[in-house]
Parts: sequence; C-alpha cells; structure tokens
Amino acid sequence: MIPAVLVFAYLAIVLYIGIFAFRHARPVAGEAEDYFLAGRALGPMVFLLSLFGTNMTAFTILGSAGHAFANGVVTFGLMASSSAFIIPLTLFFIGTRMWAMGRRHGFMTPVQMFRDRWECGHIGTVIFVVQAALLVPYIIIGVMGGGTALRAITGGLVPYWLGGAVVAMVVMSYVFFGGMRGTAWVNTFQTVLFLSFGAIALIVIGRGMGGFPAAMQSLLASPETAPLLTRERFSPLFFLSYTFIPLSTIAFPHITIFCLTARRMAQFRRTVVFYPLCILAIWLPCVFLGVAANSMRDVPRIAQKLEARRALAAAPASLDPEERASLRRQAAGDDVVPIMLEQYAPLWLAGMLGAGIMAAVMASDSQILALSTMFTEDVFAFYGGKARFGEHVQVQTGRLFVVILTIVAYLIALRAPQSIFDLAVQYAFSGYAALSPLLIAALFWKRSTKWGALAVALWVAAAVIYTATTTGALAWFGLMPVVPMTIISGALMVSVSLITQPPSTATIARYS
Amino acid sequence: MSIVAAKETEHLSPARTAAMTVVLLASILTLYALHQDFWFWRTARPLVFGFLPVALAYHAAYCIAASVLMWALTRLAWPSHLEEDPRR
Repeated sequence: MIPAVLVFAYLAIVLYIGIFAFRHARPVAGEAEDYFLAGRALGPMVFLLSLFGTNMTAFTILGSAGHAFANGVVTFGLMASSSAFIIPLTLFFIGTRMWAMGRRHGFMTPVQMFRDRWECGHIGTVIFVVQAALLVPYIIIGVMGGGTALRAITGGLVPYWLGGAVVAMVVMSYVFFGGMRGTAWVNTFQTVLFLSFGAIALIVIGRGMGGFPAAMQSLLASPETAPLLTRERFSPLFFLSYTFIPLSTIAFPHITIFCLTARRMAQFRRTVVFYPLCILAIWLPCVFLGVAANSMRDVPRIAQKLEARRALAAAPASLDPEERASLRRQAAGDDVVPIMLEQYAPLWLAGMLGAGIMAAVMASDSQILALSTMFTEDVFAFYGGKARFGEHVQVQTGRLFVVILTIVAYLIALRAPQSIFDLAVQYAFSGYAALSPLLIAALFWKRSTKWGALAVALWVAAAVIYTATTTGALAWFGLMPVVPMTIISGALMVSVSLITQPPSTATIARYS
Repeated sequence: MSIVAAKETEHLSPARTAAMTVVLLASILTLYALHQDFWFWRTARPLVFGFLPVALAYHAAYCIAASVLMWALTRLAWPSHLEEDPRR
C-alpha cells in the first residue's frame, strides 16, 4: 500500500509542476513559440536535465537491467558508453546549428527548416509522415508501460485499463496546459529522481547482498554465469553496429525541437559536458545490478528465471514457438531490480522505486508534444491554417491534437499486444539513425538538394518496413541493419543531390 | 571547414588553428575507435575495486573520457559565430 500511495503522490506532484508551477501569466514570446518551445527561454539546468530525461525511457531503468541480466556487462558498452560519446557529439555539431537556424529563421520543427533550406513543400510533408509514423509507437508504448507499472506497483489493485488511463490523463493534462515549459520542468524533476534512485538502489542492494565482491566471485565461479562478465558471446561487429544507434537521438523530432528551446547557445556547453556523466550515473548501477542479480540463486523468482533460461538454451530447434515464447517471458529480467529491492530494501524505498519507474514510463510526454508541434506547424500552418485562423487557433489546434493523440494511443494500447510496439520501437531507432543524414546535409552541405532528401525519406520508410517484416533483412556481414541503412541513406543523399539542381544561391547563403 | 572557431583560439595563427583542428578530429576518431576494446573482450579480471569487471570499468572510464573530450571541444572549438544573429 505504501508504494502505491507514494506513486500517486508522485503523479500529483508531476501534475502540479507541469500545469501550475512554472506557468507564465503572459507569454514571453509569441503564443505558439511560448506553448511549443517554452518561448525559446529554457535555462541551463532545465535544458540539461530535461534533455537527458527526455531520452530516458522505461528501458533505461528496467530494460537495461533486464538486458544485462540476460547478456551481461556487454549491455553497458552496447547502449550506454556509445551513447555517452555519440549523443553529446551530435548535440555539439548538429544541435547548436539547429538552435542557431531556429533563432535566425524562426523554425519550430525540423521539417520547417528542410522546406526552407531545400525550397520544397510536399517533400517536407513526406518527411513529416515518415517521422510521425516512426514516433507513434513510442507514445503507445508509454501508455502501455503506465498501465503495466501501476498494476504492478499497486499489486493489481489498479487494473491495466485504469492504470493506463490514469497515466495517459496525467501526461495529457500537463502537456495540454503546460506545453513545452510544463513538460521540460516535469522531465527535470524526473531526471533528478532517476539520478537519486540509481545511487540509493546500488548502496542498499549492495549492503543487502553482503557486498558486491562476493556476488562477482560467485558469478565467476560458475561456468554458466562467468561469461556474463565478459563479451565472449558477442561478435565485435555486432558491438560496433550499436555505435550507429545513438545517431537516432538527434534525428528524433522531440530532441531536434528541444534543441530550439535553449535561451542561449551556451546552454549546450554544460549539456554536452555533463551528458556522458549523467549516462554513467544512471546506466552503470542498472547494468551492474542486472548482472549481479544472477548471483541471487536462493531467491525463488530469480531462480525460476535462471531455470527458464537453462531450459531455453537446451531446447531443441523444433520446440513449439509458443512454448519458446513462454520460456522467453519467464527468463526475461525486466523486473530484477524491483525484485532485488523487494528483497533488500525497506518499504519506503520500494515506493521511491515505484515513482522512479513511473518517471521512466511517462517519457512519452515529449513525443506527444513534438507530434503536436509538428502537426500544427508542418501541416496546419503550412497548408494555410495559421494564416486563415490566426496563432491562437493554431495553439488550440495543437492542444486538441494532444487530446486526440492521447485518446487514440490509449485505445490502441487497450487492444493491441505490446510485443508489436516493442518491435516497432526497435525499428524506429534504426529508422531515425538512417534519417540523420538529412540534418547533416541540411546544416553542413551546400550542394544538398530536396531530391536527395526525398530519396533518403523513401529509402528509410522502405527499409524499416523491409527489416520489420523479413527476418535477417539487411543484416549484412553480421552487422545490424542500422549500419547499411544509415550508410545507404548517406550515399543516396550525396548521389541524388549531385545529379539534381541545388537550391538558389540566396537560400544557400542564408545557411552559411 | 575548420571546426576550431572558439573565441579562446581567435589569437592563434592559421597554421596553429589548422593543427588544432587536426588534433581535435584525431581525438574524436581515436575515442570512437577506443570504444571497440577488443583487448578486454574475453576477460573479466581484474575486478576493479574488487567488484567491477574490467570491461565494465573500462566503459565507465570511457564515459568520463567522453566528457573530457566534450569539455575540450567546448573550450577550443565552440562555434561562437553561430551565437550572433546576422539579422540584428
């Protein structure tokens, strides 16, 4: 009961922060800029913590520990350290320029910049459709995660449909009323919670287990678990492929749009320096705890998982697919950190964990707002809505879009199996990584053209569908599909641009 | 295109600016290559601080190295020219 109370208290705090705490009586900029971009006036700490929080999803706390539980220390190198280098690097080179172009030309979305930079209209709409289609699964996963987490934290007291509805309502409310400012402050609060949670959980669990050295020695002593402390089960090429995935971050519309919210470009300085340290502070405890959980063989729920993993490894190729899926579910380690806390932590900390999990699963707020911004700017305003009805109606349209999108996502979450959207999210990462050449070409290459951009957008759409529907598609030479997808994307941008007419010199000059 | 454009390096001669660009680009490429630490691929030992497998400790240190490189980039290659709005 205490964890449930703490989680509902957390939801109430989030609602207060998002709607009331940082509301301005009068917009500091135009009404649309104020709602969608927080008036381009976020300060350095909110910019850093919110940008980081926007990138942290349920996967960070639960999924990373689960992945490490099954695969070992490789998880950190695959997902954390590669992001710690590539993401700040892209923020440094691309984010700062995006910010400057947004300031200079008044852009609020990446598609607005593409349309202006490449003197195109409908090609921008094609890019909008590809971006939006890749973003929607995240929003649905967020609602599903909310329902599942609330049901688990309350011990089934709150059913899935109600948990999903509560989380969707809370997110919708602060996005609706607070816009970017409310969302940014909620994300800041959530990041502080993440950062505190990792360290506390590590200390409490470490003490409870009788110290980590003993746990590691026990893992090393068993031939079954010793490989989890090395990367011998993974090929170096597979490991290398993962360095392409963080390219997706800067291409995600909610991140690109967030880059436009900084008051000054100097805000990026602190962000790029501290970003790798924030990743270290959150991922290292989660990955380490996930690996260490393998030593808790005397805890029945962990022992069951290890048994299922053994059965899966020994299963013949002819094993019934449903039985295999069932074994996979039993072996999955997404709940190992909650189990460890349940075992070793006091009740109040379990409640804190519940709030931390809620913070993670509520990461869909930025995506909802980004999609609303894109719809109102790239479709409503572009096709004459703003000129005809004015800026106030444009903002109200954005708010209405937030409501409709949340309701649709909730209805889909009630009916569709989560596995479909889990997969869709995985492919979306590759898709966005392969879209990154669009930003690079628009900001750095004068000779790039709209036809090159169209070729990239169509290729990414086709490649995502192909890899999602065909086993082993584009997995060349043991690399993950993201590598050929991104390289071909870049090659298409260059080759198609070189054989087509570039934009006018006046336009190019505005981007120098 | 030179990536060195920070106000801190304005006083440098073109040759030194070019050299700085090469050093920074080489640092970026080196750090990228260092992610692929095949030398710790098949070993867990030594356990750093008595409990961190060496590969995990290496990648934790890698995050700190990334932070240091970002600090160097913001000091030596900060694109200050982008902060000035040409419309003003």
